[in-house]
Amino acid sequence: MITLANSLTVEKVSLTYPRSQFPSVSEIAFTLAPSQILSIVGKSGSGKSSLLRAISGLERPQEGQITLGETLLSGPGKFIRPDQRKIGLVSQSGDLFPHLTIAQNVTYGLKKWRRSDKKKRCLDLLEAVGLAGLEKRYPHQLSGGEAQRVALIRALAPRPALLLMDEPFSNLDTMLREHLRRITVEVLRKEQTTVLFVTHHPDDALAVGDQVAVMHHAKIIQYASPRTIWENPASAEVAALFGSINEIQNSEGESGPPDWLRSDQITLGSESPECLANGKITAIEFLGSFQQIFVQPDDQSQEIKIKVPANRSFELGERVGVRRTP
Amino acid sequence: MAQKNKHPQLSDGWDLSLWRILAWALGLILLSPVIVLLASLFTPLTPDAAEAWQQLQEYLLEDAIKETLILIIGSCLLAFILGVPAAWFVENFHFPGRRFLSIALVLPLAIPPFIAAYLSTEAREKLIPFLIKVRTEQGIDTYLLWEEGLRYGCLILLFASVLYPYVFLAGRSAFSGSGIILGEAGRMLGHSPWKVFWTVQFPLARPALVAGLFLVAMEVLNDYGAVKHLGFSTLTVTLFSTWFGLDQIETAKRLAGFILVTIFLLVALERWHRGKARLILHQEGRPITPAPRGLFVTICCYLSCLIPISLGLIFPTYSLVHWLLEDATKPSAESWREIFQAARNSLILGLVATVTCLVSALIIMGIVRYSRGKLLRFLSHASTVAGYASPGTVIALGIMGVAVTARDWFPAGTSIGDFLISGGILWLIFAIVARYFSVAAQMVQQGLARQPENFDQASRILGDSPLQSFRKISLPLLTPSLLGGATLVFVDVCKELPLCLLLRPFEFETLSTLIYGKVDQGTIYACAMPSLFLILLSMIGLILVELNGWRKLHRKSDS
Repeated sequence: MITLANSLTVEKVSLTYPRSQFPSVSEIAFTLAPSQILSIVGKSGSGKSSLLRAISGLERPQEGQITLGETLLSGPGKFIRPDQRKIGLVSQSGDLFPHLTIAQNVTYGLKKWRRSDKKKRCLDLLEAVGLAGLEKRYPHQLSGGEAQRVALIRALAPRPALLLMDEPFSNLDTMLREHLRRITVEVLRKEQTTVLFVTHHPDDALAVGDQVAVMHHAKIIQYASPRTIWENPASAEVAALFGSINEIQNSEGESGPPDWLRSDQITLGSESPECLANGKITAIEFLGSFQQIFVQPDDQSQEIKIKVPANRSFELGERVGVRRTP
Repeated sequence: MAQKNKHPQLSDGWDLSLWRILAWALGLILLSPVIVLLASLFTPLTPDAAEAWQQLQEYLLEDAIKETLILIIGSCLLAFILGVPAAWFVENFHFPGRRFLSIALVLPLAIPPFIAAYLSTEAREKLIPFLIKVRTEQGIDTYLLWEEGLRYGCLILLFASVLYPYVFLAGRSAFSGSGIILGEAGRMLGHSPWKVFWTVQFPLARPALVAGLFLVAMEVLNDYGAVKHLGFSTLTVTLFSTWFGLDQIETAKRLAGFILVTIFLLVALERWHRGKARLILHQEGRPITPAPRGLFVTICCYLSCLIPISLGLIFPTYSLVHWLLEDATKPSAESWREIFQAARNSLILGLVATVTCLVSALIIMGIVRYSRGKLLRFLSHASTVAGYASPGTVIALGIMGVAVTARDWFPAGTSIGDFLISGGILWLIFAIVARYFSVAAQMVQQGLARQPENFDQASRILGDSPLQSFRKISLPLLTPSLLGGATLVFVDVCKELPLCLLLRPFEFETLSTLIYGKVDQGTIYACAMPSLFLILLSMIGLILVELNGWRKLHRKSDS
């Protein structure tokens, strides 16, 4: 039984939890093409997980419509139960069933499949994520990374029309996260699944998604390609998500709006009136491949953080000028 | 003030050794009734006792075992049916009145089975016309069948009605948190809620539910008042009658020994069954409980709560209030004096037993936490199991055995010997502590398990000895567990009947023995007022535990 990947259309969906004053999701609207991966990124509490729960059917939105391919999943007067939506979900904690083996976990969603087909699908997927041979083990016998891979293929096994991933790598350390990210994207491309990938790690969002949606206070504040989000953030909130951001008062007119610049968009040189700001170095952090220099501007505005190559040398207390990177 | 800079020692030092010895001594004392009974299985019987044992085996044992088994299995099944749906709906849905109903569902534990049996007298009498009709119309054989069936049915219904909270509490903790999260994972894999319940949530809840059913079974086994009132001869009644009726304490001890061995085998089976499932249940990230969708589910939510509450709480309370309004139950001045004296005795017994249980639990569990000794760990485990797994009658026989042995070692004339003979109430307290130590121990153990060892290490690094660390860090953090343990022990001691009947000193009445006595004398309505006292006392305790969340291991559920 093959379910082809479908497009997802979300139209003005709003969700407020019972006994809650404010909406968790507010008039969200976007369209995702078949086999596309959309990364949804935002701070904790921005509404990302609530959006996933609304799309999965685990929560019922008060307003709006959700359509998967040709099927209306949720709308005025219509609501399809989560188990009937053909949507897969991978959660942060994996949620493997502790009393079932890995094989039983992976084939749990394969209802009415022939036994031989179930076995083949399970073995193929285990091999695809590098876990061949572990079918008879139990979840508690796996490491964190292994368990998360099993959770992924369990959700993919029934070939869902849409896959939802809710911060699937958050419980893992950085190196493991990067490794799993690569494996995940490989498998998703191979399966050609349409994917909604929620994370609060900006590098995961940029690396995984074909498109990125930034959520803030229950709304989407920018929806664009990863490169556009990085190079042209629509607002300070978007920019701040992807790196530390400096507010530099425009020296040409104090009444003008400040510039919002990331620490890699500015550099240090000798003092001069043409610089964005002049000041004293207050701290130097050596971070291996680069240094983080903190400068206190003369006009007593907020401290500026700049990224410079490791081979440049500075001293504490040295007077420097901040300018844009060419 | 000068700081005392103490370097932490790897060896524990003198004061901990003393405490370790004390923990060993306490553990062995608590185990002594059980040890004595198990030893009696290997000592040969006197000719009289052997003959009584023979008669027991030939005439009484088979029926006793049969009746006990039917009552246990029937009560467990019905308690399961009453407790599990209520637990599931309460944990999985948020509906108006849920918190109140959740507390009310626990309150039938305040009503001891023997009082429930007495309060059901009038309701059972309503069955008599039906039975007469059966006898006249269908003959005596059919009548006997019906009579026996109804007798069993009534008692099973009574037991299940007041004991289902053990299953409800077990289900409530088993279905919460990760049960819901895994249920959602199952739904997203395409299975209906019903299928997900059977393939995921129920298997994971099974060990906890089995533990809850075990408690129901032990309570049924332990009961004396209700089974006797409805004319059954279970193993407990047989023990009583062998001891007092036949005056054959040795034979009774042997029977008690066999009962113990059977129970221990069942406990081992239950532990083995629980140990097989490596169920690491995490509690984090619990989604918000939804409101029930649809009228049918809403009705199910309320019915699943209201049916058990009606059977176990509303009906007995209604009967009690009904009786209290009758003139026949109005106590005379003499009766009031009796009641207050019995209440006072129950309170004192409860308080002394509670304090002793808690202190023993703190010492034993505290030392187990700090010491690496496997033997001490086993001893503490054994004394916990031995207590709750042994029916009151069995413990009483064990205590008598200990008393006899103690009198052999310290005969009359020695100071200890005289003290042992005169200290009647002490044996009762000893028996009660031996039986209910496990309640306090489990609460303390769970409370300690929640404290990460990092706390102890941090305080040790800052210069505290193990004892200081325990006193300043562990003990304050244990307050909810201690309060919960104290209340639960107190409630259980107030309700205890067989032990008090068997071991109380002359003219020492507790509320439970007073109630039993009134019914035994034929003045059943006179038990109404003392029953009210007992039930109110127990209910206050249970409500306190539930409202403060002293029983729960995790944060209080959202209201």
